[in-house]
Amino acid sequence: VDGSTVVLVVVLLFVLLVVVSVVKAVQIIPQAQAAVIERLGRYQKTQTPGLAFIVPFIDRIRARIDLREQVVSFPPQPVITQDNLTVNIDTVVYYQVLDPKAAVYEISDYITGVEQITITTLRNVVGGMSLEGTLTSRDEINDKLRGELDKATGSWGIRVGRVEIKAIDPPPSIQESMERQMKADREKRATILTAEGQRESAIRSAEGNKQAQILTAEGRKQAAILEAEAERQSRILRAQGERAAQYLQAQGEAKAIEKVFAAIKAGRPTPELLAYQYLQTLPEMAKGEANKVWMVPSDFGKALEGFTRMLGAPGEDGVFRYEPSPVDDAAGRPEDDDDAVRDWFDIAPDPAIAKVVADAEREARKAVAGPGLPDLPPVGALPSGVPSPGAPAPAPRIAPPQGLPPAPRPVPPAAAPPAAAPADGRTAAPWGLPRPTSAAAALGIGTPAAAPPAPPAPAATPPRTAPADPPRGAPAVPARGPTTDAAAPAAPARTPTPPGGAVPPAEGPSADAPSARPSTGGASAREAPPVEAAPVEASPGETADAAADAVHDVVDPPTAPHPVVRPSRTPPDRVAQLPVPRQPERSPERQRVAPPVGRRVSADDIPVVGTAPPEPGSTRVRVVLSERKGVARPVRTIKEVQEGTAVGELLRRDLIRSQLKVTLRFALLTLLVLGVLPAVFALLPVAGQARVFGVGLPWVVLGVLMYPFLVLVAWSYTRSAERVEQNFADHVQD
Amino acid sequence: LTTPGIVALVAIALVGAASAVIGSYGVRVARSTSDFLVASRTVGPLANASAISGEYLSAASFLGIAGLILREGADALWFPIAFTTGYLALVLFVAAPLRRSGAYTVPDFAVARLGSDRLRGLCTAFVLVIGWLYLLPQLQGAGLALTTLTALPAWSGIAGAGLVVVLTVVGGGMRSITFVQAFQYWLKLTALAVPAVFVLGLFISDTRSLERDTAPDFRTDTHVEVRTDVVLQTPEPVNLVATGTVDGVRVDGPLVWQAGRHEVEAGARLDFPRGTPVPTVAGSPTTDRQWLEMGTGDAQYELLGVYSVLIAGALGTMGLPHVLVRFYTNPDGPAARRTTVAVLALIGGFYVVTVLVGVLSRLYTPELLSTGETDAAVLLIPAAALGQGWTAWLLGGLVAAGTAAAFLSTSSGLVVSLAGVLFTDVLRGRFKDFRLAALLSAVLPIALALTVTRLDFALTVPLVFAVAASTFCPLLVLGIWWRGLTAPGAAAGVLVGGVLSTGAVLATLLMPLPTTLVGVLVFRPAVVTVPAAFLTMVLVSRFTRKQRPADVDAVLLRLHAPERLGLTIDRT
Repeated sequence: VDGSTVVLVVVLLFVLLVVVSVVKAVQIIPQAQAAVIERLGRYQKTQTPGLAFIVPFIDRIRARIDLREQVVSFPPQPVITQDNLTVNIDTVVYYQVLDPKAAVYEISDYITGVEQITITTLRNVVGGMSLEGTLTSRDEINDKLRGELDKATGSWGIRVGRVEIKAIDPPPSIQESMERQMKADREKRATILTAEGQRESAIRSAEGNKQAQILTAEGRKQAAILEAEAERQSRILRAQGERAAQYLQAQGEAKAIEKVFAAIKAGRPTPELLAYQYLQTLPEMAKGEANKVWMVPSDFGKALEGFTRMLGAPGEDGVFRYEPSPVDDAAGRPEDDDDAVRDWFDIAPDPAIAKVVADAEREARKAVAGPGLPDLPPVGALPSGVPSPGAPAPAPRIAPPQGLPPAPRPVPPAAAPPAAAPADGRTAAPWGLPRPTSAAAALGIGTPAAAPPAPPAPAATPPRTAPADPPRGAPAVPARGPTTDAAAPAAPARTPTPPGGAVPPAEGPSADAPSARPSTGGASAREAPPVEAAPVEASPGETADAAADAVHDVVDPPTAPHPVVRPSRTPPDRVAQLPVPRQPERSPERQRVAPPVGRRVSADDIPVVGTAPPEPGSTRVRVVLSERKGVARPVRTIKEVQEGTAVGELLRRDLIRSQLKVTLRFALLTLLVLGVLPAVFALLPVAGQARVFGVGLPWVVLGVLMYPFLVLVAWSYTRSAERVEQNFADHVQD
Repeated sequence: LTTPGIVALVAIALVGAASAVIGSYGVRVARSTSDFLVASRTVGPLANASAISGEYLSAASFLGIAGLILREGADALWFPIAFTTGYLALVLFVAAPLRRSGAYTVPDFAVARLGSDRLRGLCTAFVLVIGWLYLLPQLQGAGLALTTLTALPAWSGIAGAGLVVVLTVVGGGMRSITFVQAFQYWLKLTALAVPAVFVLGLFISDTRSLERDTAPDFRTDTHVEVRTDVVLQTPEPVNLVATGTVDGVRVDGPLVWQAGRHEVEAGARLDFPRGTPVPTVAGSPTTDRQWLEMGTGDAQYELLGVYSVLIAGALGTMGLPHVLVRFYTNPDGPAARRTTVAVLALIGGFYVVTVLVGVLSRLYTPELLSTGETDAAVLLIPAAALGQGWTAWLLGGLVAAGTAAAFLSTSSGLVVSLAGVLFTDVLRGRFKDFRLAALLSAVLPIALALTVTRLDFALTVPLVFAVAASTFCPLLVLGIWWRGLTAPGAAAGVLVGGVLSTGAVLATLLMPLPTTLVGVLVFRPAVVTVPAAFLTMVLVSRFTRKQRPADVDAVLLRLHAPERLGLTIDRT
């Protein structure tokens, strides 16, 4: 070993020392970081971001503190609630180091400190709450946690910005019972819905049946009426025809007899002729099937003689000759046709009848506008009492009992009422006649019926004289206006003595019924207490019926009034629900007893009974339904990282930055060595010529030592990089 | 054929046979495409590291480094360091993220990171350029080795090496390649270390020393045939018999060269008697002392060249297709890192032995300095040191086997990776096409190697590294660490670096270079082209900031996040 070697080694060592010193002295503090610097173990200062020079080997960076807001997620903590249930609560704490010095010197590990305080405070807070309370009052828990943490961490130089409860997982048994509860709840809803559906379908089909039957009955009635009418008219026509025919026949016979007798008389028949005629007839007589034995009178001649004697007087020859009896001309000539019977033989069809038949046919062909078809009324709106089918009966009555009816009955209005009845509670309009008015009209018309001599009703006009027009006019009056016009017919109703017991109850309601009903009907009906409604229900019906019966005998009543009766017959509690678009004071009880059939039944309307329904104001509660698996949380955090949420972004940048830092540190080291060495060897020939242990320095350094150096760098880099990754993975999966 | 030639041939045949056996063992394991391409990612770190080292240590390392040492001395020490540092850069910047990217080739990575198909095409083109450029000297080296060892014509070596490589790749895919490569690393190390130990023993007992101010002597009468125009220099007067044009004069007879430079034209034949000083190629150290010390050659801008080589080696390794593809066979990112550390150790150990052999060859095979074929030093040193005898012959056979292993491993690795690129990017085919791709990727360089003049390893290999460093290194490093990289930026950078460096390669190959600064920069372009590529990439990316891929954060996260988070997507 010669001197130059020693010199070189010393020089190299010195260079190394300088390099190391420079590397150690120059420190770069990145933005949002702070370095706590100690001089010989004692706190010196807190270095702010930027370039920092420290005294090598004397100063030391105790810690680099990240001043950004940090996010720590703590693993789920089992916490016992007031009702002795263990729930797992995991929390996220957002904190920021405000005072790096305090964070380093006041507490050994502030993250652990924060975690422990979080856990204990959590136990404290949740311990005073029931499970229900825990699940619903997260804000409260958060607030309390933050308060506690702020108090404790203030001295550590940390500010806790947010404390969030990520999840509250009730114990499995509770989850199970929650699930069961939910399931039962849903099953209940399903059952209710099913029952609801069945009920509605039954009601609807019954409704349909009813309407169908009504329509059928109606049709049958009309058919029967038409049939009877046809029967009557056909019988009349037939009788007329027969009458004419018989008359003509009789005329013919009379003529024939007249002719025969005239011929006989003119021929003056002798007995011989008679005998001859007699004998001619005998075989004819024998032809009868019943006559098997036929006796020819023995004294045949005597018999003939008798005939002859009857007919004539014996002549001079002893033969009886025919003597015509004296003719009675006063009897008149039967063939002389009377003027009175001349129109019997008019064979042209009666135009009136033809019109009736045509009307009937048209009516029969008209499609029945069923009440349910275009706008099916709510089931509940239907009166349970079916309108009396007899109500429209008077409509087709035929007024003139004799002769051909010149007044065809307006059937159509009568056909509508039964159908209109269900609807009228809510929407009277489509079905023409406003109820209250009609009711008044009914009363008004009914009353005159009870007191026949009463003058007011135009309908009372004898049918004969006013066949068609007055009855038509009558319904028009009530149709015009609900109150004013209705009052007119109603007024006379009260003037005459009320008939029997039907009217007194009718009088009270009749006054307010027209006024109360007009607008929506339902509203007023709801207002009317059931007690009051009852008489209404009974009275107009009876009155109207009675009136109708009475009227029908006398007049052709305006057929419309009858439907009036129906809404009144509806039971009060039904009425209450009829038209209401929405009942403001809807109590669950009531809905349960009588669900709003009229409305569309949907799931969310179904009241939840028995369970505690979520209050509208309460916050959402996360209910974890399945047992937590081991991987559940890591996956969640990984997702956060993967999906680039704020937290994930933070973690990712942190990872890449720290990896890059490690990489650059080692790259810089290598660069320094590999960058300096060629220059050293090229610029310092003494270095290239130096000998170490007899071998040239370049050969030792470059030929041998460089390789272990490179391996060492790579190896320590691998260690560092793996540690960074480890930390990241731990952090994410924590 | 001489006895040592036969021994060498047998050894080479044995290597081929062993490769085939191990390869066929691999064939039985290879069941799926994944087996073929990335060995199902089940190769352990040590086996993988051996395979990577075996693949990486090409003929350039096995023969070229020793030859370079023989010629350039201490100044050549930078080359193995540069080639080794490449793996350090790899482990620092690329290894784990690249493994996690789940991509299989650089084009794959480009698409996964930047999602641009054009960039992919560009990368594919440069992968092929680099691969073929690198295959060419390997195959030609095989020819040189065969000629040197057995006196068989060079084309037979090229053709034979090509055939064996294609057969191995077509037969077993990467899985078999992996074990073949691992085996070949250890074979190479043995083939170098055992003769080195023998020769070192001789050297220690030898009285001669390298510390002298004279050039080495010819130990026997030596006949030198000059195949290219060359300038020789000698520090002392030299007596020789020359036939051909020397110093611009047609001579045919004895000649005395004074100390200084002498130009010899191609076709000349020089005969040096035993004991005369060996003239060396101009620019190299002439005396042994100069050779021992650094910076003593009279080459211009030597420091610049050193830095350029260091840059090319350190940053070019990560761009070599056959090196990259190896990293996909690791099970995960940390394994990729550990593998790389092991590779560093293995390669470092190998280079120490290589340097030793180079040093020894200065003493035992100095005549190569005059012929210029210094690459043959490793092949000739056993015979030169030990004389004729079975020991020498067997050691020569071992070296020959190692040489064959070096050619075969690197070539087959290159062919596999090129075939992989062709297979996935160009042919877009299925299983059978991989064999077709392997064939395609081997045929072109074989044809080129048969027709183009052979070039020195020391010349061509750093150039290939420079191309790789100027194209893929910026792409990979910026792609992995900088979220601001855009597809246009990457393409521009790759294009600028690639065009510059490829132009330099072509200029170097096609014309004599002046010894000016420009000439040195063309000869060692990395020091310019790599920063240019980086700069272009960064600048263009900044200008095309809007084209930054939308999923850049997710991709970067995938590259850097540890596997246990389960974000990595593997090809199956």
